Amino acid sequence: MKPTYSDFDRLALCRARQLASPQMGTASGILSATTEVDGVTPRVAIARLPITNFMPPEGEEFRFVNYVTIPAEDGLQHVVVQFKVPQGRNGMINRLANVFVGGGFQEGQGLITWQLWADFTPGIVVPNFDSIVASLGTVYNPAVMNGIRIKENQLVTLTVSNAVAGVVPAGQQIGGLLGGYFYPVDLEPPEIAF
Amino acid sequence: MIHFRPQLSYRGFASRIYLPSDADLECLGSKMPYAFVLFDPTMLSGGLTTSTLGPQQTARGYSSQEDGCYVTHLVGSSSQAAGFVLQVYDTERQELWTPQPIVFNNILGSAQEPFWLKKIYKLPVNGQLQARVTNLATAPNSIQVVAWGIRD
Repeated sequence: MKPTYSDFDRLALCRARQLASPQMGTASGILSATTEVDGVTPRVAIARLPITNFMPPEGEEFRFVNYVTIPAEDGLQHVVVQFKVPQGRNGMINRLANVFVGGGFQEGQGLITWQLWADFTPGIVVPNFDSIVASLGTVYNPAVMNGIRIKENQLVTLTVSNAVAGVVPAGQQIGGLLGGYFYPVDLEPPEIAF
Repeated sequence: MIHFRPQLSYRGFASRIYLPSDADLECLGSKMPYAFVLFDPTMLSGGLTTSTLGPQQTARGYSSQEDGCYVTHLVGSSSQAAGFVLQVYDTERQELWTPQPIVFNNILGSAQEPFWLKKIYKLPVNGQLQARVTNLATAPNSIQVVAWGIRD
């Protein structure tokens, strides 16, 4: 009796053939739910991994890093890291670092606070990242996050504030890192909420 | 037949004015005006009772209604000049009205000059119309967002 293939085996076989010969398979080169293999239609085929968790092939990774000298004790926001999301691309921030290099800073004291802005121009602060009072990660070992979604043309910014009567400036450095990836806008999941 | 041609000189959209048909107007016969409050600081999540939204804070409000409710125009107010940004999400249709937050005076009108929708919007029956508001001011802000419309 000849051995029979399960749907999964047939799918795997098709994929192997496709890799060996680009002419086989679908026109786009990606298996889909309608791809037929030897007359069998696979029930489930994952064309791509979720873009909210994994960078798609069309994506581009970024790691924006910068250090600035500690600002004056003015209580105002000063830019540490800033970049603009390219037109036609949305993105995901999944790495964050904000560090203080030098003396006089105490974690959680609140004299030095960071803010993450989704769009600095109108002043939209990322919810729950409006007053960071501790170093969440270092530049060489940034904090891993599930992801903060950013949209095209937004001026994403990490700022730092030295409170009035805060840390006396003496050449200390403030560092920051924002990492993640951009992807084409048309890959944005349609069911995405806020 | 043209029943009503609104003179909304303040609304600078370079597109045709939506004019209701006879069928549209007949549907209004048994309905009454109603205000669907999308956001008010007193309805902040967590049961907080406050009249303002904190500096640069984000909060959500929602409206959950029965069948037969329609939105015709939007109105909002801010006690701080810096204002706020707004995003609206329909949980039933699973769609955002806008992909990004919009500054309030670009998406909301005032009582004097309401922001009329191009077409009336049926409120979700098995869901909510949610509003996410972010205060742009560095001071507490009293924010209200109201979707005016009609209901049975």
